[in-house]
Amino acid sequence: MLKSLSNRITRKVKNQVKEQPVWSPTQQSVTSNIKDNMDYLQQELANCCDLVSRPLKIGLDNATEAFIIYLDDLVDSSALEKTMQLLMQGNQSITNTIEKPLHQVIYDQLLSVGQVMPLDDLNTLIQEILTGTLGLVLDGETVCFSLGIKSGVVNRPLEEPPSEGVLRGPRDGLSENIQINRGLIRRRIKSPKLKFEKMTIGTLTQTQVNIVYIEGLALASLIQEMKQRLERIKIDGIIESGYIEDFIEDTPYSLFSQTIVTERPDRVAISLLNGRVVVLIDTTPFVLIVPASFPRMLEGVDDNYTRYSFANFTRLLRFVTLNIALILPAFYVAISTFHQEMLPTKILISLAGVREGLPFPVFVETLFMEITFEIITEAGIRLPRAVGSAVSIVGALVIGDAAVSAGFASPATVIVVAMTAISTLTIPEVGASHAIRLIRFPLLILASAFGFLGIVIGLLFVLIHLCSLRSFGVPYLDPLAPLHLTDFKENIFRAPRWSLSKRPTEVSENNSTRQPIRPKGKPPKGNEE
Amino acid sequence: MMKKTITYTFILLLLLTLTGCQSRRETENLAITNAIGVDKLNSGGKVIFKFYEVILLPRKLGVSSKGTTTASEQTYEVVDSQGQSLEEAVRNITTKIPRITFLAHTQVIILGQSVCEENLNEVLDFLIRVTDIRLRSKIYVTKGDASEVLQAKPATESELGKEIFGLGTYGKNQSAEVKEITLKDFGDKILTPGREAWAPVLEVTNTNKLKNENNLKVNGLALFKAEKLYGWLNKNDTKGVMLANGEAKQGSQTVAIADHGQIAYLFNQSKAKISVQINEEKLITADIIVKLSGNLVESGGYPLDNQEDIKLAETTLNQTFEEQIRSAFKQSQESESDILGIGRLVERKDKALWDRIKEQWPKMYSEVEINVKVDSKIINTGLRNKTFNGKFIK
Repeated sequence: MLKSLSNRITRKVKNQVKEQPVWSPTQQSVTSNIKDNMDYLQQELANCCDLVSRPLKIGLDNATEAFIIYLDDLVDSSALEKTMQLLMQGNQSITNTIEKPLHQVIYDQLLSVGQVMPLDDLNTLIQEILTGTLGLVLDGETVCFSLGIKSGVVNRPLEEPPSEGVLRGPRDGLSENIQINRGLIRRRIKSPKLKFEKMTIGTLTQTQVNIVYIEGLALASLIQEMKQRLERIKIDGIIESGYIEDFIEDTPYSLFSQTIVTERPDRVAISLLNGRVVVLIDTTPFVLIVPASFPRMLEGVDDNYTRYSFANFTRLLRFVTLNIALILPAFYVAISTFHQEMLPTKILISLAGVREGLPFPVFVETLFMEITFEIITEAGIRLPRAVGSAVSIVGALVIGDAAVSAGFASPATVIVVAMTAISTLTIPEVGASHAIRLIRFPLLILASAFGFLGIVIGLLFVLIHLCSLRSFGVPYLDPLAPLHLTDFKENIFRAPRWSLSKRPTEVSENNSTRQPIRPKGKPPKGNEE
Repeated sequence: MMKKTITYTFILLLLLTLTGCQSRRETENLAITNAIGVDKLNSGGKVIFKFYEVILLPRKLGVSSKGTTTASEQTYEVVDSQGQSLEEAVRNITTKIPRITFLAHTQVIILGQSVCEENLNEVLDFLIRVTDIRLRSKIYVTKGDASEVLQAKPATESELGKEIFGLGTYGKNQSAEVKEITLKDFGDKILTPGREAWAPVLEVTNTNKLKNENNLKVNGLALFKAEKLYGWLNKNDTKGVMLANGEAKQGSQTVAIADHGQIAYLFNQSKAKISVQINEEKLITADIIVKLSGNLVESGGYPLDNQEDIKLAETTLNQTFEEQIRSAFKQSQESESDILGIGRLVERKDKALWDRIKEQWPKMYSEVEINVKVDSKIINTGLRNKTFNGKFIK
């Protein structure tokens, strides 16, 4: 039975039929017969109503037949107009036509676009056209051109990222357009060493993916590894960075996310400066940062901007809330069903007082309330903004008041669940808080069966797992295990900026000096009067 | 791989159900006990222990899920049972109450006189051997039966255990006449040769004369010799003992000075040092040096104009304190109860001698001579330096 079940899950089908891929372009050379080229392109792009192709005559005395082909929705109309104008009226300016082939002359003198790609393969041309370039095919030539006149497609204005709010710091967020994202990063790091390596992933979606790193700072092996993992992906489509994330993780089944996901360009820049590698994906504002480590995930980006004293306070606070979010419900269940002797007498009496006459055991009560909270959280995300406040009112009333006054739950449980919920929300990284929300339930069950012993066993499991987990070869608990005390200054605490002269140890073996001196501030000399 | 994972998950899930949550107990089902009492009956040559539990009623104590309740209701119930052993008595209680016996929050243990005189060995063994009861619980002894004390009403606190606990815990910091001892210390002192145990005595009194109620107070100490109750110390002697072993935290003394009227002295620091001298005839003398510092808080006509006045006051205080310590010591000698631990000091001083005499130590203790020297200092005389009766006197 188990076997058939597992077979059904993994969808093992015997006698598999060899399927043909939907589109696997092979080499299709440009022929010198313009008619053939045109036929091929139109046949491949048949039934695409956004396609525009138009023959025209260009060259000296407009003697050469040519045609342009593009997707109407993707090109910038003013750039298109300008290019066509030059092509059709440019015969006056053409000189020296004898020595060079026509396509060279046109390339040299007529194409007023910055990004011109001479191609000899029609299928490559199709792919280029599909990204929004203008295809230009000439009669009698075996070279065609792809002219970059992409319009920015639908661009929403740069908004503050809703998933990562900050009190202090830049208000711009990454957008769905990879070009704009590159610009946002480049604006922050104006160095020729900042590299964007382009890849195209997805046999059908042909999504542009960029590997971003600072050359000489990021480990070459890390970049190489990233390239290899990305090249391994042969899926038909990449829609969001989550698709890529699943492919490039070291331990795919782990509950913990092994990449940092962000939509803040400043966070990307900070990571790059630490020697991390970033993956930009077109059509999504969320980018991936590797290698990730768990302490990094407790780091809000504005820790870097607020004064070090307060930033340290909030960091410590987050370590506390992490523990609350993870074990408080389990701790509550354990202490009120197994270890009553651990409670001070007064607390025990009030706990026993409020629990008298309640229908459910503490465990069931806590589990119900936790599930209720998860339902409300989920509803808060799904529901339209306009009814969001209604959800929160209903949630507060249901969880907080009605359940207590109806005698279904004790106020103590409500406090515990509310405290846990609030604490979960303080964890800045979504990947980390999701993992914690998931682990909470097994811990709760263990606590209800074994008390503190269960919690400790559960936490040990989690800890052992975290210790063995790696993100691109870097230990997930860096800098806690293996211990790098120098990194504590930046990664666990936040020392004043002038004292941070070293980059994180694990990711910057190449070049660890961030600043050569420690320019600590002090009052000017000789002004003591 | 997948098959294995599924199998192991099933096994793990089954494992969870196997334990059956064996030691689980819901808070609301506990009979939270914060004071226990032990008495005994003699019936036909057999010892029968009487065991009392003061069980708290949480719904009447705190906020319940149905809101607060009125204050006049009784917030605890004293349940008693008997048995040939204490454990039997505890098990017999479980037949009387519909809840799980829960002794882990016991703050106060009250031992009746008869138990202390004859069966302390069994009782202490049970109290310390049982893992439930904390070694931090406080021991109290009653003159007569513990049940009398357990029938008293708490005067200010909501329940009895808290009242008794507060009497000792807060009293000892404010008055040198009150002392408390933990179960652990009590057991240690009973076991240690050369040092005897003591425990504070609870007595029924009437705190508020307007109400006709039986309340409680701490009054003096019970003195033990080995594991048997042997004698009593009154309030004043308790202060003497506490001064001598340096455990007095705060306390007052009123003395009359010559024909000037009286002053009241409140000391808030005390240090004591006890040393023993052994002469050639192996006679043992204990030197007790006590240093006190405190304030003069009340003066009924005694002038405090100059240093001589203060000196005189201090000297008078010293004499009074010395007298108190001597009296307390004498009292303990009569009970042959070495509560100051002189025997331990002898052992440290001369091990060979101690090995010879330790068998007869209680006897020898009653013949130990002491030299007491108290040095009390008046640091402060408060906000006034003149008295109120000098208006017409030049």
